[in-house]
Amino acid sequence: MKVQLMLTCLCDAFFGEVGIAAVKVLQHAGCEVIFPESQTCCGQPPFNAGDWKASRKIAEHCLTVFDPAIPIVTPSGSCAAMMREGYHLLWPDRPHTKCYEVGEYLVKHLGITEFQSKLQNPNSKLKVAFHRACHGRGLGLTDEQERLVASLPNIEIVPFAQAEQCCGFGGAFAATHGKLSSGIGDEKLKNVIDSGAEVLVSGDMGCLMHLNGLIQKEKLPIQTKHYLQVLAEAIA
Amino acid sequence: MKRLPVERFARQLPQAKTDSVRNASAQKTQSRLTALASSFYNSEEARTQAAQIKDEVLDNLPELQGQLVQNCKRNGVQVHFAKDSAEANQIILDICKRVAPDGGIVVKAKSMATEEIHLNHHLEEAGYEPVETDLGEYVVQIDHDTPSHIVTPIIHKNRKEIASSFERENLGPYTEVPEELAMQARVKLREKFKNAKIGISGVNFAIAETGRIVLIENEGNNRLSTTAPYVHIALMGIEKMLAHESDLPLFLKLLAGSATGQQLTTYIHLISGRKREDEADGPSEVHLVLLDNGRSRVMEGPYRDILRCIRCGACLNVCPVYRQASGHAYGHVYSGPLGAVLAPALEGIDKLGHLAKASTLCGACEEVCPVKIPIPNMLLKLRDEATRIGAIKDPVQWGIYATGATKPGPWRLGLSLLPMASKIAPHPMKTGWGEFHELPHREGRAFRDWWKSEETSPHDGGVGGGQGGGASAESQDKDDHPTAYNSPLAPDPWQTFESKLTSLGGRMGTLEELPTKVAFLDPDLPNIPNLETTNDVWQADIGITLADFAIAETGSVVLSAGNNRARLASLTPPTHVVLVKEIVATLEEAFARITDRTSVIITGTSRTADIEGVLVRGVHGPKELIVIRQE
Repeated sequence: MKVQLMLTCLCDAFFGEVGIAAVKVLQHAGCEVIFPESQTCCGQPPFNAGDWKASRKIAEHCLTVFDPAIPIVTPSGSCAAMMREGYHLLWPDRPHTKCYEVGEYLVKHLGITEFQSKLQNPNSKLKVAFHRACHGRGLGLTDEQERLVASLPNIEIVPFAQAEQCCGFGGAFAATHGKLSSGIGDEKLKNVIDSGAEVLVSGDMGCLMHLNGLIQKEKLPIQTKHYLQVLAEAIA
Repeated sequence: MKRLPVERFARQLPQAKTDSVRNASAQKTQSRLTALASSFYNSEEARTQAAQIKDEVLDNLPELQGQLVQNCKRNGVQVHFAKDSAEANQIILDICKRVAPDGGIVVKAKSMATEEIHLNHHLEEAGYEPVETDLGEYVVQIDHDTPSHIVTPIIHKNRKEIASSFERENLGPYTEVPEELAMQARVKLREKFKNAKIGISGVNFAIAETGRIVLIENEGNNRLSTTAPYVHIALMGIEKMLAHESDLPLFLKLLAGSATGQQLTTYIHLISGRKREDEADGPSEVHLVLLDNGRSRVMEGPYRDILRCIRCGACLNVCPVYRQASGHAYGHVYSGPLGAVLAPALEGIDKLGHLAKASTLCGACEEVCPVKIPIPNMLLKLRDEATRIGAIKDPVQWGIYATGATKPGPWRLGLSLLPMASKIAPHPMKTGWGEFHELPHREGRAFRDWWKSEETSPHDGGVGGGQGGGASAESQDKDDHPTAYNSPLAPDPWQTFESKLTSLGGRMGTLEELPTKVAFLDPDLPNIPNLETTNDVWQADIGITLADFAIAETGSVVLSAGNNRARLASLTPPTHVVLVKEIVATLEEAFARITDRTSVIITGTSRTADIEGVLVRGVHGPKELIVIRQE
């Protein structure tokens, strides 16, 4: 099963470990991972900002980078939604790109719903609050990523209040509407910390970068991790 | 960086206001889920059906409007067309001047359409005294404020603020008890209802095939405003039509569930025209004003789907930005996700296109919308259009970014420098980001370096060794239930009815145990011994009426006009006693049998939750509802 990895610009610039984890998890699931090196950005930042002209330019480039015959997978719901649904808004006449969030691809296309942990001490449970990133809504995702993490014996998923609420990132919104964005994020973090979770796990580095920025600025007692890193650590 | 208005507003909003809005919104989001789960087997399917029905209405608007006008005229309703706010205000003022040339009280039921045309201002200028009679809207009016939510206008106020306002207006001794505050408003507004010659309302639905105007509410003020005065004027956006009465059960349940977390609202008023000869009360004139005000234009463009909106407010309640900023931040009658699309669509993207920026695009609004309006996609389209016409300017030069992002070499170099660059160069994103966030830094290995080293070394047995399977495993959780709605019923419909009625603040009773108080009786009731009676419905302690039938699944009773009955008998006395013989199982069956006379579906007691979400019974209508089953 060949798949092409769309790394995403955030993982390209800051969070390489998430990309590495994605490759490890996909390979573990039996995929042959291809990484087209001339990939850049999916075009989402200008798309969300309202500059569709600039977005189309980038999207055109992106579509030439990837082979349309091979599924594209990406460790971000929002980039997957951009390439699959956003491009369809840019060009309503073109077919939807075959692009999937990694967990979505594993669960819905490969039928994988659990991972075996190779950790030495599977009985010491890590309390995890799982934040479902909002772009999963645009992809029709529900609990796919969370289910994979919950299948690990060393993980205990803890519920928290107002779980369905957005983290407040919203791309450039976090910078242009800083007060609103941080207010929404602080509410999310408060609910997560109140739940007793040790780690906040999610599937989008946009959300996690924003929440981490708040956690560090306010010195809050919680850590964050991408769910693919949690999976990769367990199967290593 | 110049801040956009919603962010600017949020920055000066006291934390207490944010807390009020956020808590009430979260509560309503939760009760919506519970209500829809109890109303529908499959609320997802219900939403899809409702979206299709509204789409068909928009597709056939001219024909349906023709039908509506014809059937309204047949019912004795006078129909007027207003192409914009100015015309609508003029039409309404002309009616007022003819009916009450010397000015006077105009009682108003809650209506977003009248807010949209700023009707109160025009009425005041012409020498009238408009009185908002919904508890929340009344508070807004005496405070010279504006509603900050389309369903819960005082979501931003707490009970202390309301108590101070009531004390200032001499409504009674200072109290922070919601029930006492509601009673003070009840007493004050009773006089207004009695003395008003004109009542004005909005419209929730107008039915093309019957010409019926449908109004829903919980307090009873809407029924009073549209029943007691000499003339009733209803103002309606042209899109708020349904083709058939049989569409109503779906929409009534979706609207009540989405808006207030109820199965049905207390009152569903089905107005079939002016008072007829065999009716004891009701307005002698009914006017329907059809308001365009930009809607025809919106119908032709890319934001047409927003006209499916039934004004439930669920998208406001669930929206993280609305919860932080409150409705006032949007600077328009329509706020939240709905307003961020509807306001610029109606009033111009050049003026209000910036509202589309006040969103994280999280998609929660679309997920809760009872008519599945794709709000996030429309916000994206609005951003594109607003950018193209120069109404909004982004702090980032995306053209330059795009050039970089289409050249892989420079792009890679740029990315590798970014973690450093973000620390030194001041730029707009950094200033905005850095105010509340630490800047991101590189964590661990760089992917591209790792990938290169992986490619040159053999893989560690991963490829082909996993647990992958080829078959797609799309989940097949199909619901087997044939229709999207109806709830399972207990075998005895009266048993279901009683349990519902009790949960809604009503109870079953007998004629023998009625309290010895002064009663107003429907003329077609048999004589009840040992009961002191009055002919003045405003003075009665008890109103005793007949119901046509009861509805088991919702615990409702259905009353219709005719036989010289008084509509106010079920409304003005503090206790409503209703005699009923027959019962139907579902709301769908009820609509198949409801008469074509003006009718009301009563589901529980009059109620409000306007003050901090606290439930108060008996605000304008009866506090007590006793149903007596007749064999």
